[in-house]
Amino acid sequence: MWYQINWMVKGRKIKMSKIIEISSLQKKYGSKTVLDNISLSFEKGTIVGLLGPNGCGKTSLIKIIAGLINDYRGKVTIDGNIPNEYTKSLISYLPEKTYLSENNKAEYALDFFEDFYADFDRKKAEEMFKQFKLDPQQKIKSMSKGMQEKVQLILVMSRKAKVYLLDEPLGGLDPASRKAMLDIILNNYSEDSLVLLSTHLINDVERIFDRVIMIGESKVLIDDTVDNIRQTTGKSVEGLFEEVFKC
Amino acid sequence: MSSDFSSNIPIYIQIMNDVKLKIVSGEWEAGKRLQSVRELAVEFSVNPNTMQRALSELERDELLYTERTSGRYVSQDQSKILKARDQMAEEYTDNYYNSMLKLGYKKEEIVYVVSNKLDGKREEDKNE
Amino acid sequence: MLRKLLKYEIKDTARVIPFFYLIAMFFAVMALVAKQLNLGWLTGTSSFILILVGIAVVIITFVVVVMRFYKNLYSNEGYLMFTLPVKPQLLLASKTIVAFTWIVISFVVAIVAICVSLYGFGVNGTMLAEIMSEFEKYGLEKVIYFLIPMILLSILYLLAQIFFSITVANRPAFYGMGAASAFLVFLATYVILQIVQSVLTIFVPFSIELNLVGNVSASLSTKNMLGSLLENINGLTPTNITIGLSGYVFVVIMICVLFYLIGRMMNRKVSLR
Repeated sequence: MWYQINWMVKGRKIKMSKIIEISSLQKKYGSKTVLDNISLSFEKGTIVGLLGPNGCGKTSLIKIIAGLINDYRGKVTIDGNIPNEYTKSLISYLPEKTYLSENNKAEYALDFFEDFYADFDRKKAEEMFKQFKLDPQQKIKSMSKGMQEKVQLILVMSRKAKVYLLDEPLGGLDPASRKAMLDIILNNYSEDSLVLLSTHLINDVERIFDRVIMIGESKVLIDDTVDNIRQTTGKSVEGLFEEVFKC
Repeated sequence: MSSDFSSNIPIYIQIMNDVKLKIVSGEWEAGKRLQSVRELAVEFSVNPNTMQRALSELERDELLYTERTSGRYVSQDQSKILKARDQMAEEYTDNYYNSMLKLGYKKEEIVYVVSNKLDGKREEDKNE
Repeated sequence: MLRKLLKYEIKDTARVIPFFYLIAMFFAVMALVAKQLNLGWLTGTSSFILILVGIAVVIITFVVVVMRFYKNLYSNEGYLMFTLPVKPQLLLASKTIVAFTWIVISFVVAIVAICVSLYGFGVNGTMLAEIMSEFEKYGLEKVIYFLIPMILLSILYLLAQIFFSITVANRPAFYGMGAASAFLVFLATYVILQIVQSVLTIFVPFSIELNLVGNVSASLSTKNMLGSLLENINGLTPTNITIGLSGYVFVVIMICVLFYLIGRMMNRKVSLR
């Protein structure tokens, strides 16, 4: 379990449990290609960072896995299935935007998640609400952006999903809140799940990644473990990122 | 936090050093039972696999040991802990020495500076 | 899953629509009370307002359910709805069922409101009975059996076209056009479908023939409307009126086609901004 990642370091090949497999993925918006013949696979029990300039590539990749974008070329499977209502039950998705019904209270969202997701742990979510001083009786639209983001992250991480897709979960938060969010992610992570997190705040988040993938100009530019990167390039991930994406 | 991590050293090694420090300084007493890997990962705010790797390395260095049914413990072998402490002390000393050399101090001057410092510390202790 | 979707659909729309039913009820009660107390001016005024409220209730209901469809699926909430572990067709079904139900209820409320206001204006039971017996003389009360399904179908048809237009307007190809695109698509869809429907109704030889001599009777026939219309235009006294039925068949087919297309588009081509 914990040794799943070590094969890359010790050179031993252990059978991986691949939860997501992507081959020859191509996505275009009109004439603009944002993902060009991408092939990747992801194992359970890892936290993977998806890095790249703010544009279309990494968000499109996440949306395709989440089942929000359906016109693409190539093969994407989650637990062996193409994106459909079954894979949606395995995936806990956190978009960049506030996707909760804003006219309703946070409690409404708790009810909603409990109703539609069998793997939702309501008690855990309620405890985390308390911990972060979030009032379930408060309407979403009256909460600050930071509070809304925390509510959403708590809801998403309170599911025992196989895949957590977090699209920029830390944007717009002060450092203390960011640390709190990272703690939530680490606390709720399990070795049966994959966490795929896209961010541009690399400095804060590097320490929680096993592996980072950098996507630029519609291709995978870097795909390696954090430790390997440090050992072979002598740079932190952020340092490498700056080098790879220097204008 | 992350700014504590210098860029070119793998994170697991830095975690190892942090843990070693806790053991060597006695903050984690000999024979103490460690929390689970996940709890430690949250405490140090790092990836659980990274934490696991650091702990495994420390086990190889015999500063930690695992009892299959009950978990991980700090070593009870004082000689190992003292040896680790000595190693860290030597590292710190090396670093200090090299830093002072860079400042332009000569060996005798360095001895003088250190000796003065220690005298000053002794005075402080007397006055407490 | 459908039940759960219906539950939330009802929850969210029930916060707004019944409010207007209450307003209608308020004016209805006012008109009735004023009538009892013989306050002519109040009766007249409240009856008048009641008619307006009745019409407004239907319009507002339409607006609410259409806005709900758009907001819940194609604004930020869509990120949640389209990642639920349900087939998008179920999302469509739950919204259609609830929207249709509210509109029908609103129609009923409007009709009741109009009846009450007619009463307020002095139309009473005996007048109604007279009108009804006139209808029965011609056997026209059977028209009700025909009218109600037609109205229900029309509501469903209109909903289908509106939902279709909104879904089409949210395809990637339409991003540049902004909010007006849904309206334009609707206009285009509505006009085209109307034209096709009219052409079919007139030219396809499948119709109802109404015999106007003596007892009015109706029978299915394979004449097309064109002949009957030409007769009328030529000034011959019509003994028969032919009403094309293929238009209605077309409506039923198009309802199925439209919903099928919406379902397919939700599955494949919709991309949220």
